[in-house]
Amino acid sequence: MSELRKHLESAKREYHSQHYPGDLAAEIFPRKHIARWLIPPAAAAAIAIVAWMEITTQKNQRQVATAIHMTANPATVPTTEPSSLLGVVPMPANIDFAPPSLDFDISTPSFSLSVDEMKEKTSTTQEST
Amino acid sequence: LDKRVDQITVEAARRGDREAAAKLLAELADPWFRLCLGLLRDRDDARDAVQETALRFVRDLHKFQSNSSIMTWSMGIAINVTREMRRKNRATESMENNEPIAAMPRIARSPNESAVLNESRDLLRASISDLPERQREALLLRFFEELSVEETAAAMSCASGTVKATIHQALRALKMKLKDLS
Repeated sequence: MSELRKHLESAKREYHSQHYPGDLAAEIFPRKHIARWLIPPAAAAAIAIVAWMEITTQKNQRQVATAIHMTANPATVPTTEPSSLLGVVPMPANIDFAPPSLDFDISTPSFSLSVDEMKEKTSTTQEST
Repeated sequence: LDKRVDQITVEAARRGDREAAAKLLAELADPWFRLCLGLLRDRDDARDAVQETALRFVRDLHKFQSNSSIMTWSMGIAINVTREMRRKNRATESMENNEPIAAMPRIARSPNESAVLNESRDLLRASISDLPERQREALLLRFFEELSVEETAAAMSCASGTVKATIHQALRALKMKLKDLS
């Protein structure tokens, strides 16, 4: 074997001992790489959180509704209107108790008068009547 | 490599299967890195060149014709990337130094430095580094990557005769340098 060939063989061995320092596929397809390892666990965690929140919210709503119902109706025994049972029409709420023609002013006594003055005024009214 | 990377994987990668393309990249990363390191002589530059090669490989994979091996075809991409990088580096150096490249000495070594290079491995590495670009490309592909003359020619985008002549010149230059240095 010639001297040059020996040198070339030695250099070839050294040449083949070199390796790419990294993961080339991961460097070129980073998103795919991340997606493969990150998205499924992240999706599972998100689903679990949403489900847990849903269950907790429903439970809280049920508790609040029960509390409101119990506050509004302390006795939960069902009641029935007697009028509805007898078929009587209930009285209207906005009825006039006196016709407008009979409206008159009722003079109110002045509380600034003394007792004597009041007596005198009463007697004068009786006399005129 | 061709035995490890079966035709099915290559076909799947050509159709856009990312998993198959990732498998090819994993297999080709080391040969690309070795070649780029041998040509650029800098690990960071070699790594950048491999990443650029990988991007172009994935982008142009659908253009790959099965009349050459995937290894040969991809080595052609790596060669082009390193040529572009060296051209860019030379332009930068030229602008920084403001001197014509041809006027610069290829390697200036002191007698002490030459004395340090007494190991045969270092001796040859230094000699290969001093070779012109094309001779270095041909030597690495033909002798170190063990491509055939035709495959080397395909990777270098030249004729087989040119490869033979280039390798002959490279070996003759190496012999001369080894004789001088030893």
